Amino acid sequence: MNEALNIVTEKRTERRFRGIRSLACGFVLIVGAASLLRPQAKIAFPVTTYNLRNGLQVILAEDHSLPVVSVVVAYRVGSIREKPGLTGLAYLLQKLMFQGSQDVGPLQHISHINRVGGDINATTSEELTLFYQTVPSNQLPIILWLESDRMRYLDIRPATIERVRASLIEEIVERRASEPYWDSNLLFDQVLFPNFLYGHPVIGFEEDVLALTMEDISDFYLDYYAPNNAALCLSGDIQLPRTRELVARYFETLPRGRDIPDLPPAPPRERRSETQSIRNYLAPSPAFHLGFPIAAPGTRDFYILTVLDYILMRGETSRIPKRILQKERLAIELSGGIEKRRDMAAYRFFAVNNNDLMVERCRDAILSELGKVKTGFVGQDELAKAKAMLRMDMVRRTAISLEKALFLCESVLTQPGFSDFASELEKYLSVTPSEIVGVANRYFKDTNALVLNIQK
Amino acid sequence: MNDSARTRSLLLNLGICAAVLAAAAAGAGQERFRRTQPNPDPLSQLRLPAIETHRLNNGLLLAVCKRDHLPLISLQLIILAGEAQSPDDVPGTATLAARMIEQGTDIISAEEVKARIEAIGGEFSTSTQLDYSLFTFNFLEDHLDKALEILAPLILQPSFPRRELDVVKRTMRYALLERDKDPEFLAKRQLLRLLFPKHPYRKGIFSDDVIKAIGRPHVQAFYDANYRPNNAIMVLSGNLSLTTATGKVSHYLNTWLPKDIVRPPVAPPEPNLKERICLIDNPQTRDATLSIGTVIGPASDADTLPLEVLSQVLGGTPTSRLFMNLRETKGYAFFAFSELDLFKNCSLFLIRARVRPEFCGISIREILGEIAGIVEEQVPSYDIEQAKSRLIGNFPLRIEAFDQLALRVAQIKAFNLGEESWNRHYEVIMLVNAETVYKAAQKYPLRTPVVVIAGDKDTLVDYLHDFENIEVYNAKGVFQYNLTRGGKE
Repeated sequence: MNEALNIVTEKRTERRFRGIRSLACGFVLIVGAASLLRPQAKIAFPVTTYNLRNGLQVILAEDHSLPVVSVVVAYRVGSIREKPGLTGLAYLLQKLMFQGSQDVGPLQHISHINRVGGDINATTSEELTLFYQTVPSNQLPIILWLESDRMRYLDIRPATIERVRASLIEEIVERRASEPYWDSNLLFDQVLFPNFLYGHPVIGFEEDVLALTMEDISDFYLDYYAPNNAALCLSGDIQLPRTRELVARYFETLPRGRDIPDLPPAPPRERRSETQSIRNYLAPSPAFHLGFPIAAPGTRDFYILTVLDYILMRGETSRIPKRILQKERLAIELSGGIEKRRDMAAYRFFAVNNNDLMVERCRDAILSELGKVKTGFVGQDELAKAKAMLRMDMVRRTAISLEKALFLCESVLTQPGFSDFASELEKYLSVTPSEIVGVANRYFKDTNALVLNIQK
Repeated sequence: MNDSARTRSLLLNLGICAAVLAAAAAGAGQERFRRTQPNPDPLSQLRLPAIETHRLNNGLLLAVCKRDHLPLISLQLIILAGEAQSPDDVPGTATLAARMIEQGTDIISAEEVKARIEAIGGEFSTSTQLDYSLFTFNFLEDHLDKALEILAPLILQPSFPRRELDVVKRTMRYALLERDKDPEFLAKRQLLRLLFPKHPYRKGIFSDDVIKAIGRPHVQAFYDANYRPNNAIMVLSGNLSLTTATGKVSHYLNTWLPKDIVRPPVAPPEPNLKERICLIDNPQTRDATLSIGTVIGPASDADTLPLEVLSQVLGGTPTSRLFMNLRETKGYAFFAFSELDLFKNCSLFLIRARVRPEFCGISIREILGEIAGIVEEQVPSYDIEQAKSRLIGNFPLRIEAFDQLALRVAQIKAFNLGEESWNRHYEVIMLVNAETVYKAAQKYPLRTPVVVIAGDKDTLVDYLHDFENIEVYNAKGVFQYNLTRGGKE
C-alpha cells in the first residue's frame, strides 16, 4: 500500500545520528573460508569469505528466508584518494559506472534491475564507493555479469562525461542553494581534518569538477576500480556451490589492477583549541559547529567513545538532546556524533539557534554536559540503556540482506584487526563507567575544542 | 607493465578520448560469454510464513507471523480509524490522537515513556493514514514482556496531558509548514481536495491552520470512540508463536473494553468526466510539478491488481512508457511515474511528474495521450508479462524487514484483502492478462483525470495556452480565478 497520500503523519523515534555507520564498521568479520560467526544472542549468520587470484575479496552470507539476494561491490576508493585539484573524481566515477560498459548499454543495468522488481543504488564516502542492488535470487547470474562488466570494461566517452559532469555541477549548485550551512560544514571539516585528503568534500569542488580531463578520469578508473581493490558480497538466498561457480565465471579472469600503495598514516594531531567565526547572510539562523579530535577507530578508546556517544546523543532521552531540545530549548536543530575518516576520528556537534545569545548558551550547555561526564560516573541504568540501544542497532543492521551485505563489505574493507563478532560486541558491552570518565577527560578538553560560529 | 598500465599507455599513445573499454577489451581478448546477458536461474519458490490469527475475548484480532532467524520482534497495532474518521469540523484529530498516545498516562510521564522504550533499545513510531492509525514497536525478542508492559498503559489509559498536547501540536504545525515548501506535496494535496470534495478522505488533507482548532476534548472523544479492541488488530512478526503471543497479549490487554462502533457506508466521490486543469501558483519555483489523478475502486476490489499491472506498464519504472517518452525521448521531464494509492473505500490512480516549465503544457498533453493509449488499446502481452514479473520480483523485497512484513499483514487484515493476497500472491498476479487489464481500465474514467500543476504562474502561463480553462489557486489551495484563453474570469 502506498503511503504517499499521508499528508501529515509520521513520527518516528530517531536516534541514528551520523555515527551509526562508524559503529557498524566495528563489527567486522575476518574469517577463513567456510567459517561461521560465533553466536552472540542469536545475532549470528553463516559467512564464507575467500579471495580470487586477482585479489577480489568475496564474502558470501547465505539466508533462505526469502528468495532475494543482495549484491554489493565495494571499492576501496573515495574522496580520500583524490589529489588537490582533482576533487569529485570518486563521485563522478560512481555516476559513470551506470552509463554503460563493453557489453552493457547506458542505463541498461538500472533498467534490468527495475524490470525484475529489484532495488539499486550506489554511494561514495571518504573511504569507499559501494554499488548495491537487491533482486529476486534467480537473477544472480545477470547481476554478476553486469557488475563484472563495469569492473573491467567501463565505457568512458566524452559525451557521457560531459552529461555526468553537468549533472554533478547541478547537484553541487543545488546543494549549496538548498543547504544554507553547506559551506560552513565544509569549512569545519577542514578544521577538524586539516589534512587535505581527509578534509575535502566527497562531492568535489565545482572548479575541480569542471577541470577534470578524460585522462584524469580514465586513470582514476584504471587505478582503483580493479578486483584487487574491491570486495564482492552476496547476501541472501544463494546456494554456495552455484554461487562460487558464478563468481569464478564472471570475476576470476578479470585482470588484477596495479598495486595501490597505502596512504601514509594520518599525521599526529596538534593539541590546539580554535574558535573561528564566519558570516553567512543566507543562513536562516545563527549556528555553530563544535568538535573534538578523538582516538582512531579500532582503539580501545574508540569503543568507549562509541558507547559514550549513545549516552550523550543517541535517542530522545540521551543527555544532550534532552537538555538542549527539550528542557532548555536552546536550539532549533541539533545533531552530533562520531565521524571517522580512515584512521582519524572526531566527535562533532552542530546546532542551529534562534540568536547569538542562544548560540553561546547552547555551546556552554553542551560543554557543561561533557564536563559532567568527566567528573561523575555514568549510572548503571544509563549505561545499560546505551548498550541496549547499541545492540538493537546492531541487530537492525543485519536484519535484511542488503544491510547485512553493506555491513560486511564496509567492515572487511575499512576495519583492520578484527577477530570475531562476539568478541567485537564484547568490546562495547564491557565498557565501564570509569573508562567513560577516562575518555571524556582525555578527549573533551577545552584545549582540544574546535569551534566555528556562523553569524548572520 | 601490468594490464591497467598497458591500457593507459595505449590510450595515451593513440591520443584518443574514446572508450577505455575498447582498448581494454581488445587488449584482454574478451571472453565470448561476456557478450550476451546470461539467462536467470529458475525462479525460487516463495515460501511465506503463515499468518496465524486469534481473536481475544475483548475482540482484539491478534495475528502472528513467525520469523525465527533474528532475535527481533516487530509489533504493529492498527486502530481501524484514521483521518477519515476525524470529526468533520476538526480534521487532524486522528493524527493528534495517535501522537498523544505516547505522551503518557496519569502516572507515567511522556519523558518516562521515552526512557522506558529506550531502556530496552526499542524503536517506537506512529503513523496516521486515511483508514487507520498505526503504532509500530520494534524490540529485541527477550523484551517482549517489557514492551507489552510499556505499551498497555499507553493504549488503555492515555491521559493526553495538556502540556504535551501543546508541544505535539506545535511540532505538527511546523512539520506541515515545512511540507508546504514542497511543490510535490502542494500538488498532491490540491489534487486530493479536488477529487474528494465531500468525501471523508478530504479530511486527511489538512493544513497547518486547522491544528490550533483541535483541543483535548476532541482527542479524548476520538480516543473513546475508536481506540477499542474490537476496532483494532495487533500483528507480531518475529521469533514467537501464536500461543505465546496470545498468552502475553491477553495478560496485558485483557482489561481493554470493547464498544460497538457504527460506521455508516460512504459512497465514493463523483468521478471527474471532463478535462480539468488546475494551477497552484507557487512563485519562484523553477520547475513545474504535476499531480494527475483519478479515483478508482477500493483496495479490496478485483480490479486493483489489473490496474496495478497497467500502472506498471504506464509509469511504474524508469523504463515504463511515461518516463521513456517524457524524459528519455523528448527531454521534457525530470521524472514521470504512475502508481496506485490504495485505500479502504476508494483508491487513487496517480501520475506524478516534474517537468521543465517550457514543456509543461505539452507534457500534460503527452501524459493524457499515454493514458488514452493504454486505456483504448489492449496492452501487448509482452508488456503485461514484464509488469507482472516486476510485481512478483518486488514483493519479497517489500516484506524483508520485520516491520514491513508486519505492516503488510496488518494491511491485509485492515483492508479485507483476503488470504489469497498472501498465500497465493504469485498465482493471483499470474492470472492477470491483457484482457483483464483492458476490462479494468474501462471501468474508471482514467482518460479524464484531474490535473494539478504546482509552479510559478507567471512563468507557466505562457506554456499553457493549449487549455480552454485553467483554475488558479494560491499556495494554500484557495481558489483565485479561472484563466481562460480570453483572459481572467
